[in-house]
Amino acid sequence: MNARSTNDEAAAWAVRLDGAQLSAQEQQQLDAWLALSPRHPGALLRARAVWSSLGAADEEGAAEAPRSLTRQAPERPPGRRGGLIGNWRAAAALVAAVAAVLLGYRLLGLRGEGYETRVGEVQRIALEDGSAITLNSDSAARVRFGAHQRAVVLTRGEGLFEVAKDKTRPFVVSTGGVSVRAVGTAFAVRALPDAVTVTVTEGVVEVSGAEVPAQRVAINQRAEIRPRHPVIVRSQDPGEAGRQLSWRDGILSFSGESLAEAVREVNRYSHRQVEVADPALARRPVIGIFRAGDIDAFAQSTAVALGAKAEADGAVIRLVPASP
Amino acid sequence: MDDTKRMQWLAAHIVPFERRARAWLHRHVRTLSVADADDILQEAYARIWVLEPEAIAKPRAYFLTIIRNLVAEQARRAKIVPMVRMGEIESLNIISDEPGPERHASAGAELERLRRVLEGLPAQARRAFELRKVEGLTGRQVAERLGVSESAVEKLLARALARVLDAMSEVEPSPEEAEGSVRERALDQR
Repeated sequence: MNARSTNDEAAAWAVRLDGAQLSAQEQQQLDAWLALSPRHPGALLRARAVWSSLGAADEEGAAEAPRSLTRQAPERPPGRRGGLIGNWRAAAALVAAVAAVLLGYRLLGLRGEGYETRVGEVQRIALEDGSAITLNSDSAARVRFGAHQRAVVLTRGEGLFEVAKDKTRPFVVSTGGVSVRAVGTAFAVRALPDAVTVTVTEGVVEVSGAEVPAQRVAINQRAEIRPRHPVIVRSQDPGEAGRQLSWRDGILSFSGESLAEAVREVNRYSHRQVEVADPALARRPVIGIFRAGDIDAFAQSTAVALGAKAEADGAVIRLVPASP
Repeated sequence: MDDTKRMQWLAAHIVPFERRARAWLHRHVRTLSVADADDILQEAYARIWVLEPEAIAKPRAYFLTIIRNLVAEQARRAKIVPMVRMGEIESLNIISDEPGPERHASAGAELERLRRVLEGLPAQARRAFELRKVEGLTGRQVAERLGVSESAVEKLLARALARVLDAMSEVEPSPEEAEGSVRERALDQR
């Protein structure tokens, strides 16, 4: 789409928004147009700002934009052109103000905010509706709040979502072809290469996808979703979910996971990686609490606990069975 | 600050500065098409919109900073090639926010530009624009005056606004930009 026709369309909407309230159909058309291109929200904003800045009579001086704008401001004394028209103007100004608020809302939403964490970093992001996202190490999410939906795309990694209640706007987290829908609840979503896991710590969510039948997942349940497979939902005790989400406090906690699983976890928070080549050792259970990112401490204490040796080799720490 | 006020803030502080920001862009970024500049400007509006304008002491400087960051982002994606290295762009000083004499010159030039745009419009669109924006009538009143429907008035006004937006995108150095560029070039060389 070239700039000229974008300007034409943006101008049409800017003028339209300055007039009577949009019909539901027009609102839909505007939403659709704004969503059509990432340029459109900015183009409309610019058009509206320019439209606002126009309108100083020549003799008033165009540099005095704020003064010229008081023409349309609600505090303008009504009735100069007769009571009815004055009231109408006040109403029109109110409508314009409401439209501007709605638009601002939309502009904020459709642009979408991107968040990203590096390896070893955990970040909590407060959202405008009171919800919060905690992004785990090496994760990324995009937030797009609209009039009918609060949409988050988890593009990588894992996020814990604490959702503020808003029945009119469901909170939907999408990743890997799976959508997790909530009204007000708390849950964690993790994107794995071949699956998506959803852990619910509060309330209920609905999990669905193109190749995934809709399925409810409730508090103290964990769902594992793979394309073209039935959703596996397991119950777990409350402490278990809290333990799985201890990463948000910078802590990794294991209570009998295999060494292979524990290593996969700790490796997420570190550039230096632990490797376990021996299959028997990899199956041994790990118990303990570790600081995320302190991979040496993990390697050394598991080595001691499992009777193995930790051999540092550049960016890799190898856990090998101690020689008999 | 509510959104109406914010829109007014944009209208007062950023819109009058847009052409100089654009001139700055074209001076500093090689291979920048008008469409690229439009993209950057539109995105800059979107970014400054989400900020609390009250917190911005120097709107022009801030707007230009946003634009420079956008240039840096686009350069990373190799969409455009800035003429100076990024480090140099970062260290550039930027235009003062003091309302100096050039601001009045600029306002005069903007008026002149607006006049030319309006003269280029079909008579009815120009009339609708004047009634709405100069005389301050509402859309409905303009419709009554011109004897057409309100939606027809909106089409006329939209056409006028679109031509103003197009005119603002044109690359055409005006005297006050030439003055600004001398100042900025001097800064570039430091």
